Amino acid sequence: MAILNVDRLSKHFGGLLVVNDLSFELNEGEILSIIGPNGAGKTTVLNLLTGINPPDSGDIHFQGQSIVGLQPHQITKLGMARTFQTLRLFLNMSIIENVMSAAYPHTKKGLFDIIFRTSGWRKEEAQIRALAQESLSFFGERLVGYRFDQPAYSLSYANRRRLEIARAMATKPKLLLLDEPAAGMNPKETLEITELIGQLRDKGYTILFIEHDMNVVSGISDRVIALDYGQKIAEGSYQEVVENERVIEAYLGRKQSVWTKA
Amino acid sequence: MSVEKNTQPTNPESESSGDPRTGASPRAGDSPRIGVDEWVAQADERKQARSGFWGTIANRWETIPVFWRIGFVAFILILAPIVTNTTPVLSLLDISNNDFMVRVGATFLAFSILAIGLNVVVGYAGLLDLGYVAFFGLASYGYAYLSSDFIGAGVHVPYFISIPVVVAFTALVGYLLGSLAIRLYGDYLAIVTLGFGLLFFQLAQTLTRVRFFWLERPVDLTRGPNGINNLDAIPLITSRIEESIAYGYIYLFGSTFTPTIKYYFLFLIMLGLVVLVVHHMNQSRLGRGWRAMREDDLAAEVMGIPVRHLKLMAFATGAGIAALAGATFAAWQGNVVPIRYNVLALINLYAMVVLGGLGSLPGVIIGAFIYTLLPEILRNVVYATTLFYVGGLIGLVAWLEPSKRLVMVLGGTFLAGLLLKFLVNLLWPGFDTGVAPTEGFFLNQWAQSWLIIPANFTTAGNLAIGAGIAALLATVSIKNWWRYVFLGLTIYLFGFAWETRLAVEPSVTRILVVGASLVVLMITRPQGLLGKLRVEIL
Repeated sequence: MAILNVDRLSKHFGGLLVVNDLSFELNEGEILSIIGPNGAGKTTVLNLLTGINPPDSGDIHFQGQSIVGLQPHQITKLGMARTFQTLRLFLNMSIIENVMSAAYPHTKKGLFDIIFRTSGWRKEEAQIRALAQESLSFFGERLVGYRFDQPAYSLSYANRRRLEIARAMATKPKLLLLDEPAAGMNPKETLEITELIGQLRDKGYTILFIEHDMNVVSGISDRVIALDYGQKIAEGSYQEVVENERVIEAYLGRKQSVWTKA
Repeated sequence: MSVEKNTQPTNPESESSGDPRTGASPRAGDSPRIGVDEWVAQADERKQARSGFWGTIANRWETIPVFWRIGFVAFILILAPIVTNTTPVLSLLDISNNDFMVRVGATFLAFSILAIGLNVVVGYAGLLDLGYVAFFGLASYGYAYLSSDFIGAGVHVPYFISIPVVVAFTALVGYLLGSLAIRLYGDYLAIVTLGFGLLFFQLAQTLTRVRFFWLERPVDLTRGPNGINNLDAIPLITSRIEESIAYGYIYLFGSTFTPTIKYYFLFLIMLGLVVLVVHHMNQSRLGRGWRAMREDDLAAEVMGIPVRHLKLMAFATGAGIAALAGATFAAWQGNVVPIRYNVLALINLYAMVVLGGLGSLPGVIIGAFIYTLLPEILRNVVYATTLFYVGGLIGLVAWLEPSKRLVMVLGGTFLAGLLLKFLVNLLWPGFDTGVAPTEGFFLNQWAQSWLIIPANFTTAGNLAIGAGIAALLATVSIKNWWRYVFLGLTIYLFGFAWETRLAVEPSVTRILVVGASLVVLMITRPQGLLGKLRVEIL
């Protein structure tokens, strides 16, 4: 069953058409990766899906409901969470608070409960903390224990990427959007991220991710979409897409043109 | 395309194994874990930074449970106005009553409440609000309209109705102002809110002849710069109960019960409640949302936090807290004057919050404490002199720690002063014959026992201020042992300047001292006294 349905999505910034008539479907429990050269519009697609930018035309259906026009926090509440290519952690908050803050959309206690610390509030707060600890323990021992109360800026780069994923998990999403999860990672960490995405799928998340690192893409994707100039140029299994002529052209340039120049 | 997935031997456990605190790897041959131990190393550095004399005191204080720490401070704040009103203390301080002290204390408490409200907006939510003082003023005028003779034959709504109404109304105004400025960030928001603050101040001063089309004569809405007088006082529960409590107070403590003490305790109770409420808000999903959007509001929004709503909540909460202090302050003073709500008042509030440390409740209260009390203490020559020497000593101890260097610098300066005085008297009799106007207090007498006071000390004192600043700059810029010589010179020159010039003109000196303390404090602790150093990008 399709959890996400993107229908003829378009977006331009000024005179530049960044996403051009893009349609695709994402099935529940699937791992879909979007590849493409720099400036192909991959991150913009994610921004359109999460409501950061409104699309010019087209429609996005998430679990059968149109989410075009909703604010980002409303979309997150429906069960879509993302990470950022350029890390956007809450640097001066502690690691556990970074994750706990993302429990906002599915918690409800209002001002009265907060001020008077009612038993309901205590229960909810304990749940939030347990959820945060659970999300952080997903990454083994790296982000747990004495690390909980350390500020996020104290983390190494790879751990910051992991914390971003933990934070996204705390919003209790059904669909996780990962924007270049392996960017800036060394080969060992890249491999680990690849395994991790698989584990995330096994935990029941549907995953859409953008990646430059072909090792990650080939290792884990069920399906690959290639974008160039905002247009879908290929779709299918990894093997099919990388052998597609238009994809090779987009990445390496046209064979013919080399000859004409020479 | 082949995937080189298994060509590299990897050990996913290697990075997390071992105790990162010791930095020791359990297995030999493990590669160095760059980055992983970075924070741990920093933590050790910080621990070292907190050793030494002041670090020990800070660590010792932190071993006391929070409940007892708060209780201790509350105990002092409760006892302060009562103890200082007993005969032995009064005679020790050589005053007839402690009304002035209590008044300063109540002002401190009122400004702590205001500073906490500002801290919610600026410290937690990260919204640079320069119109904050307008909420303070708006609430004061609101109370004046509801509980004074101003409107018609006089509207005298009892305080337990008028204050909640004013608080709710001001919070609503804060909400509405927030919704106007909601799309703005940082500096732009600051300018818009500053505009609101200036508008309020100007309107309060000028709305004296407002013509409504349905009325024949123009209406005076604010009484202009003179403000509105004769506001209803807040009785202790009711005026009857207040009377009996006043009798009881006289019976128990033998001194008169003044309204000032009443407002002192009223503000103290309010401060306690505000601290509790704000602390609870901060330690909840609401506070986490505020801090998250302060750090990165786009990321916060995408993580499901309704940023717009939380910004408005922060504005409304800040405005409500300002209103609580504002209405009570107006009732205490019995009047509202626009000048109290000008930009200077706003800057003072910001100074308190930044001095104490943005985002820290105890810090903000300490900031308000220092900023309110310092100028008041400096009015009195004896207190000011005590503060000057004791503060100077504490500053030196904080810098040099109790060490050989400290003893050398202090002892060296003292002995050099004595030697110089002896030599000058020997070689140049008639030079050290001036009589400093500050002599009388034992600290002044002691200081003048080793300072040369020439006959024309006014000019010498002025020169000493300039020379002292030069010596201080030399002290902080030179790195070898010469700095201690210049430090001794600085102490000598400032001691001289204090005895001959500064202590004599408290009206000028107190502002100078406040300014200098702010400069020194912010240079030594840019994050404020109890604030945390923020990292923007790392």
